[in-house]
Amino acid sequence: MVEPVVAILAVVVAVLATLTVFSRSPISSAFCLVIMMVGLAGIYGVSGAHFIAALQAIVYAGAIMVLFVFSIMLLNMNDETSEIRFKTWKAFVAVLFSGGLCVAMAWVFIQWGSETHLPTPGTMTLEQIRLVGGNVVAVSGQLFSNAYIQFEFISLLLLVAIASALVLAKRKVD
Amino acid sequence: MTLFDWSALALKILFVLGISFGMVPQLVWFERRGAAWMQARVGPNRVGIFGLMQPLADVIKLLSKESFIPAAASRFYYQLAPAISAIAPVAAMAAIPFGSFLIIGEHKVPLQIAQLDMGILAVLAFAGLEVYPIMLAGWASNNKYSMLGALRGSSQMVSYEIALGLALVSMLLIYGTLDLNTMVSYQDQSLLGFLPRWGVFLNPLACLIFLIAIFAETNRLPFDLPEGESELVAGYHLEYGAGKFALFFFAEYVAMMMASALYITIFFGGYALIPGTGWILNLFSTMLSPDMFQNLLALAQVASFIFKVGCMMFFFVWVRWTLPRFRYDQLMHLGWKLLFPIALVNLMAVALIIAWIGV
Repeated sequence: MVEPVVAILAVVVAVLATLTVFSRSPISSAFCLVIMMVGLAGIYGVSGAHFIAALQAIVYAGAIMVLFVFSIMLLNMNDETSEIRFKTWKAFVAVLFSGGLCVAMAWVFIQWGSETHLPTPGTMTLEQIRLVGGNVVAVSGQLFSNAYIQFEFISLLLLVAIASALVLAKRKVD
Repeated sequence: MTLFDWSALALKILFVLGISFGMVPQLVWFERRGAAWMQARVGPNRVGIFGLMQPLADVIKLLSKESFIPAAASRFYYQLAPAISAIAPVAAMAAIPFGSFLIIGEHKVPLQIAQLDMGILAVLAFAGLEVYPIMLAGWASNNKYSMLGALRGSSQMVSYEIALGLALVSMLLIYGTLDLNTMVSYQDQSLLGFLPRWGVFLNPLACLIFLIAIFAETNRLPFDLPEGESELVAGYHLEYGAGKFALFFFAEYVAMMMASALYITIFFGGYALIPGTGWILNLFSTMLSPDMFQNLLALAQVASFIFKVGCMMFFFVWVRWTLPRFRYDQLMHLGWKLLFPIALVNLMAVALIIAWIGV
């Protein structure tokens, strides 16, 4: 029941991710990315990770992508839909590096993607999560006990980002 | 899942879809008659008894008009926007419980489409997608007014989501759960002996902030700046006519219903019985078997839920024809400089109180 749905969603997500990269207008790129995020949330949800699915939809599809689309619409980037030119040396370097990265990733997947190299599942199996009292309790239990310091550091990082954005924006106004 | 589970699920989906789609024409009629009543006019009263057939006439008119696409519009996205406009609010409805459970034979059928242990997050996840049809419509129409309407709509929804989220977090602290069913059963008790233990009595400030925020989220007056007629003609759906306009109109009412259902569930006891009606049910407790009594209770809960949502819809209409529209800077001022700090202070106060005296 689960696998076919995941497979369909995976194909949809892959197609949309490709469209995001290759579509001409920035706004349709952004909308493909939105639907891709929702599809990704769907994969998490069907796999039983409802909490991560909801967070994926709220944070990425609901918040970050709204800002993306918003800024694209504000900047009116319709003029930027020109053809990509493959003549400059920059394009050559870009293709070289991204192609190299693609080959390296493919090699890693072929080399290590077999069953024996899959990471062993941790203590949090589906039964364990049900026993603890749901995804939310399991995740927040781990987050606020074992990963407490890291959590605080990440929030500090976000605070730094907000403060620096404010400083940068303020300087232009003055 | 067995055949029984599948058919129960299908019936529940049909019920929710039927109620939320079938109520829209009645709501439009109610809105127009209510508006007329408040403005001392007559309103639509010619088609059918009390004008009740007026929405049907409107729908026939809208669907039989010519469906056009403006020459300068982006064809695909222009048509996509109204098509997806009702998806988000309808999907969010799936996680909202409308009754406890029915007992049919040996099966226990919970009256909720998706039983999730983080139902509130699922509702928020889908509600967060409500902004895209507006942005898409405004952008694809290739019209300055539409574009301005879409920008206003999306910035206002993003801004008020913060106050809404903070008000919600303070309620989550009180309930200690993300499960909407547990929230309802928490509220289905009495407070100080004479009040129901509803969210509105536990945290009235969060209730008020949430109420203001859902008005902004659903683009209803006094926050209907995205479609402010006197400034933007019709805002994001200016270039839409006939059936496509009808779809936007439809989605707006479904979104209102979804927001009301969520609000009721968090602050007004959800499907818990209306206070003072429990004794009527208790008259039947000796006559019926426990299973049948549970079924009767569940039906009464569904009726209470629909009644509460109806009251909330009346409130929406009432506010719309009572308050004038905000200016755009006033809207942003209210959202960021007033509601956001108040919601933050309220959240901290609630957290401190809970830390000191417990829930």
